[in-house]
Amino acid sequence: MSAKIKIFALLLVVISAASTTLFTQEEPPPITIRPTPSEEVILAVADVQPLNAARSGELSEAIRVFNQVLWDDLAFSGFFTLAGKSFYPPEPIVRPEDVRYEAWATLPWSVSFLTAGTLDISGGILKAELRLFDMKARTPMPGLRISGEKDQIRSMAHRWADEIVYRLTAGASRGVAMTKIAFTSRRGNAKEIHVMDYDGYNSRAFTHNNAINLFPGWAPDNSKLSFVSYRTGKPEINVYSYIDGSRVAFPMFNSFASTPAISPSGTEIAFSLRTPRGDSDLFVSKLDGSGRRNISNHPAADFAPTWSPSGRQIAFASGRETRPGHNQIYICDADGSNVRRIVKEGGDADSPAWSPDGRWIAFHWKPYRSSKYDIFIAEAASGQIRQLTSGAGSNEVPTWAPDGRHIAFQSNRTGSWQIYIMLLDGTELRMITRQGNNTSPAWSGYFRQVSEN
Amino acid sequence: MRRSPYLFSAAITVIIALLISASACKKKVQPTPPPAAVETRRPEAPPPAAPTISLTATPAAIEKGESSRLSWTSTNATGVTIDNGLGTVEPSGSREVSPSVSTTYMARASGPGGDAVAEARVTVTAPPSVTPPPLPAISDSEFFTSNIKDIFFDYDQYTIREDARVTLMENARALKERPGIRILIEGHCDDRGSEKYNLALGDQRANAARDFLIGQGIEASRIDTVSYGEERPFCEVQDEECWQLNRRAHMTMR
Repeated sequence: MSAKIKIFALLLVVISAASTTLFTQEEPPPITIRPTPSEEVILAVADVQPLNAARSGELSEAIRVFNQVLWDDLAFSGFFTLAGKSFYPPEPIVRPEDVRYEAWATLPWSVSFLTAGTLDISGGILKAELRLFDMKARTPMPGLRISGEKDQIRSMAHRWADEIVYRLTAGASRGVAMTKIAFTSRRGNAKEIHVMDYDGYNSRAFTHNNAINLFPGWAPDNSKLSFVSYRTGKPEINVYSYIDGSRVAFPMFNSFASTPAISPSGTEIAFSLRTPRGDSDLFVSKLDGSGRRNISNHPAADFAPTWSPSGRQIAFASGRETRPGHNQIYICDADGSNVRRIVKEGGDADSPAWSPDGRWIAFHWKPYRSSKYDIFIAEAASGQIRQLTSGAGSNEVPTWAPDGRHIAFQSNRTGSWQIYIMLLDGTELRMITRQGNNTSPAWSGYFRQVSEN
Repeated sequence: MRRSPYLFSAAITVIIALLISASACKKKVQPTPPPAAVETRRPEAPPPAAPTISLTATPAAIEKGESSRLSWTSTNATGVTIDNGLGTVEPSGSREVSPSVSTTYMARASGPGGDAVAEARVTVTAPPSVTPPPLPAISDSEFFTSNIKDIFFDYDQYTIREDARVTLMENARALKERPGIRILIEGHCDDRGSEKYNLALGDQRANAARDFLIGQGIEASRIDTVSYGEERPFCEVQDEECWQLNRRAHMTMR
């Protein structure tokens, strides 16, 4: 793998010598994911406790799950250094007055904040009372009560994790623990769209048509999913309501239509469609298919559009300049003008995904003849790139979490195709699917907050 | 060799017919100038010589399914045509013909001096005594399976290879034999490219095969296409042999 990195680095040097507009000799642009040491926030995550010891047996499984999910969510956020639980003072924290600040002050690290809380059950409804403590000021902060059905315990923990991220970043970031990932899962000859929690739990089939379904994508408000389906025999663009599962009318072309992407405004859709010339071009239409216009109009195959967050630009893949079968990433204005290639390397690039902050375009790339891709990000303005994955297997189809700090992708590093999530700096890498083959991850936007009181 | 008497008599017939028709045409098209005038003609403007043509069929009688050789020789002709599907031919030459019923072939030689025609008849007799039992009629799907073959592509290409041209020409011939058959061409790819690109590439492969068949005279309305990209591999081993099997246009009957 390191050989590959070297090859790529060498390419960069060669290209930058030839072209001064992109790939200067400078270091790749920095990405700040982790807090700097001076900004480090040390967070202690005390186990939630049964509110009433009499119900501790009934609650033990829910408490175990809650504590595990909360820890994983907070670790994955990348904002905190989590203090190891084995160092915590042994007394359970049920009430605010159970926090002995002087005991916490003896830990090997200076803990900035502490989360603790209780769980109770009544009438089959779980009730969590969650607290946050400012350990520097030695004072409790406002708490949060969350209730839910027994099978919503994971969601309750996600909710609290997102609340902690929001509060401790002073609203600068929202956590992604409540988000979802859509993906395709092969079942025999069929490939159905599934949707799961961001951490791989609660996976549910969204399509049940026993056909091939490909390339899911979310409307920015999560109200719809677009994807390609063979349910009528040909690859067609399908748009479905994520809220009630109903089909949103969209024209059938009975030819070749692929890679749909709903615009940030939610009113337009970009997709690839075969032209009479026999190749596929990029088209943009209203969400009902009306007002369709060809924005690429080029004899090479143009596909995989992704909208900039402003909706003013589209990035896409095309083989128009490279040798046959190899593609590169291009950016154009939403009307198709001002086409420019963002990565000057040869090789093969595909699956561009524009970051939520508009700064980056993630994509997968491989050298000529290689069968193994890796994930890269290119700065849209400068074209400067960073490599995000390396190591065994092919890493493909990046998709951004709505916080712009995390990506999901597919990899066959274990021998089967599975979906992985990680922070942009490559840490907190997690394999979130395990059964069969799972591909084409598409990270949702934020959902509205639920079950708050 | 048994049929040489037929050849002889046919040749005689043809020559007689040729002489009669050649002179007839000559009169019709180009009146002969008076002999006295020949001597006063300037040498650079002699009368155009009348074309002649002879046509023979060997053997002149065949059994159904056999073939006969048509041979012709012409003089003073700028163009020679033979009817019954042979069209424009060289001034002198021969062709194998295999008519299913008795047929009279007429050769026409045209030139500045007029036209000349010659005829030869090929008599077709039924096959001898024992007729083989009629071949069992095979269904369209059996016919399809044994006659319509898949084609294969090079890595990352959708151009039709030489071996694929041969296959597609044979497919076209078979499709003409069974005009009721409609086909669906599936475009497939190996899984080394990315899924999104391969779906587009599979479409281009299926279209390339379709365009070729249309070029061979198959009606566009009989051919539909669909791309499966890398979604329906024929082989799932990661080696070149397997990848080659997956880079194909797969022919199915609709």
